[in-house]
Amino acid sequence: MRTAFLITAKDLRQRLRDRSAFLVAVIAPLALAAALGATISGFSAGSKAYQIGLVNLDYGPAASWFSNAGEGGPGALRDTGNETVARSEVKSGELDAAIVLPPGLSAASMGGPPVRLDVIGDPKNSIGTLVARSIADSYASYLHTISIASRALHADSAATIRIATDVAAAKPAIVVGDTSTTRNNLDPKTYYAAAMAVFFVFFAVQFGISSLLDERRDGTLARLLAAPIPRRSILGGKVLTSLALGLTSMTVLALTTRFALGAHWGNPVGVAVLIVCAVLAAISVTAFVTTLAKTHEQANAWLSIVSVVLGMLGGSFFPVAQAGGVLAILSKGTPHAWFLSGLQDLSSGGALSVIVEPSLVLLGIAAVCGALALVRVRKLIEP
Amino acid sequence: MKVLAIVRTELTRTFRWRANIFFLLIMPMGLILLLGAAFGNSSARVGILKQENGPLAAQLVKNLGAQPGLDTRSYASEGALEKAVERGDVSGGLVIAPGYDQHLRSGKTANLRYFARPDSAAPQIRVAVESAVSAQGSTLLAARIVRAESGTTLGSALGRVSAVKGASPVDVRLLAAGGGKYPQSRGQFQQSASTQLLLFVFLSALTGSVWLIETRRLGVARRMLSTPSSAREILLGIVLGRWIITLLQSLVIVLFSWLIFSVNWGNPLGTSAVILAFSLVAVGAGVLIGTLFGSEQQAAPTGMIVGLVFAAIGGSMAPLETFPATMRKIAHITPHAWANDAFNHLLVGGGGLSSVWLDVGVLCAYAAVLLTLATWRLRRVLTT
Repeated sequence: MRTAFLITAKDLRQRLRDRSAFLVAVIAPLALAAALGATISGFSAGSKAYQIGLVNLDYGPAASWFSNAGEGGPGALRDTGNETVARSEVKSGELDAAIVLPPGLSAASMGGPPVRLDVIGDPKNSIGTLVARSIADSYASYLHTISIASRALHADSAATIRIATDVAAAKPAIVVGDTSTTRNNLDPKTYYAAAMAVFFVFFAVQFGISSLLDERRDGTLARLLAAPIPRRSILGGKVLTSLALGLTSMTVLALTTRFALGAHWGNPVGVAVLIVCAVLAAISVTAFVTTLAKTHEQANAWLSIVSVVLGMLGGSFFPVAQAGGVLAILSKGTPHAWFLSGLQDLSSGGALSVIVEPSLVLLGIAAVCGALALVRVRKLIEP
Repeated sequence: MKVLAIVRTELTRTFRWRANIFFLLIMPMGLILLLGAAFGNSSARVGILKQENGPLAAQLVKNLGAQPGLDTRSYASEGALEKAVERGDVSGGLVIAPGYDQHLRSGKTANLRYFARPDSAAPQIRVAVESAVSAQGSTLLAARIVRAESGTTLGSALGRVSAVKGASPVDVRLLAAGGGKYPQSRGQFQQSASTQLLLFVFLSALTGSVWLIETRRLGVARRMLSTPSSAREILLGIVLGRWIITLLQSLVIVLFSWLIFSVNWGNPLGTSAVILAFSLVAVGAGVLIGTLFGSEQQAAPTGMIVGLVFAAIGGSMAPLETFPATMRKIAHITPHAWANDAFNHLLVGGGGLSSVWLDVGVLCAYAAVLLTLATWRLRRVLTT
């Protein structure tokens, strides 16, 4: 056992000295989680106020009801004079989009011929256009209400104006309450922190078992085997190296993103169990792939391929489950998907019992790949 | 001639190693296939939990299903719906709570609860849901007004309103600021092909820096220098070789996505200019990293970190237009942001070469600075 620890200590020193372990296990996942969190979460907060131009060609009472429609929305309305000015300001980016109230709008809402309301947007600013579009839609629906009510009542124009005031004053019949931002479990910061943690742990644990091939290339394996060291100590030392690097990587990432970036990982005990299971699965998978390779270069290439493919299928970069069908099933075969789904259930406030299934699956993957690796590993520890 | 020989050596060494074929060609194509399968259909899915059995709730569900670009799926419990949204099975969830019909019939405001994944499709889905809801809302509001004015029951007011319900007096139309009709949304997948191209080209050029270190470790560089060829020829050969590999990769991605998924790559001249300039930037950055580190173990992870972080900040993972304003300014530190802007002009705006001259100019400036630094470092590393 002592020799195993000595080998682990030697490996860790070696990896710390050339800083590669630090780069892969800590810096890479942290930098990516921060970058993805900053760019993606900023968007969901919806903090931006959109500047929407208003061109009024109607001058009737309908235009004065317009302000009701835009109230409380994410857009700030500004009068822009004529359409040419509005177009050029949208093109230059001064305005996010513009809405043109056509002549005859008031007449249309009082039973006249229907008119068309134009929303001028820049295709490159699709969100701004969408905001203007939704204001215009809600205004159209408001005019629609007035027109149905006045026709049902056979109202004249004076009565229609009274109805319009009633509609404006009435509370909306149906309200859609958006609760997306108040939900921890949908927080992209946490998702990407976890996704990057599990993605890079597959790279971090590679410094363990696969270094047996380095030792062989450098001739140090022969020397280890010549020494009075049982083979299982050499193997144990390598596994311990992977375990130490994997656990450190994920723990540092969980703690840093929790306290520095405000990610919500959920119950610490559950998170710890999931981390241990994920690291064990990662070690077994990489160990198995390593035993299939003949040379150090081959092992490195195959390990990168396997790690990247599993990460992509497992949802480390985008939600694969959305595709459904074969992809969703393939996704279920990756440790990444199980780790992430377990963590999502946990961070949405689930009881500890929610991690039982993902943990067991992760341990199952670890057991199967570990057993296969053990069968084949003899080949690696031969002079 | 000597330059060409060096270029050929670079290419042979790269493609003889089969894993490189995977990373340079197969993986990007696989990812495009994956993205195509995941986001290929342009309809967004919304999950509905209907806890009310009345006719108004049923009508709302029908309205939602009839919205263009919206597919609905029903769920039996709140837990199942939440899980489906979290995992991305559906992009958003709408809960129609018990008492929905009764609230509406008694003249109160009915609340629908909505939540969505914070992804780039979220605002679009929200607008589609709102539009279906407001269709029902405006009928109900009109009926309430009729009841207040004529003193009948809400039921008969609804009947009267339904009888006159016809075309809306206003039709909303989208126009592009530059003139003409507003282009149809191209779907998430169409948009992602160009951003994925940038991500992969840059990432593989950077991780390719490992190759340069091997060139030095194996003594290939020393042997080239011992032949009667100038350092300039060797530098040119190495840079040119890397550039050709990067361009080859871009070409494969463009052709593959075009043939299989008929992805539109816009004006050929404009797109070629952007790809040529951007891949030169990528090569410059890759060679620079290859000269800054002494071992493959350091260069490979550094290349991966810089490649992925730049892609994330530069709008190759989430679209730039969804960034907060300050973040969008910061994004333009990366060449990705400029290239993404350029693709936006070409693919969304339908512009030609003249619409991207500024972006391509900035990319060329990046390339010039990086290549100057890289060749200066390379000359030092190779000759000392």
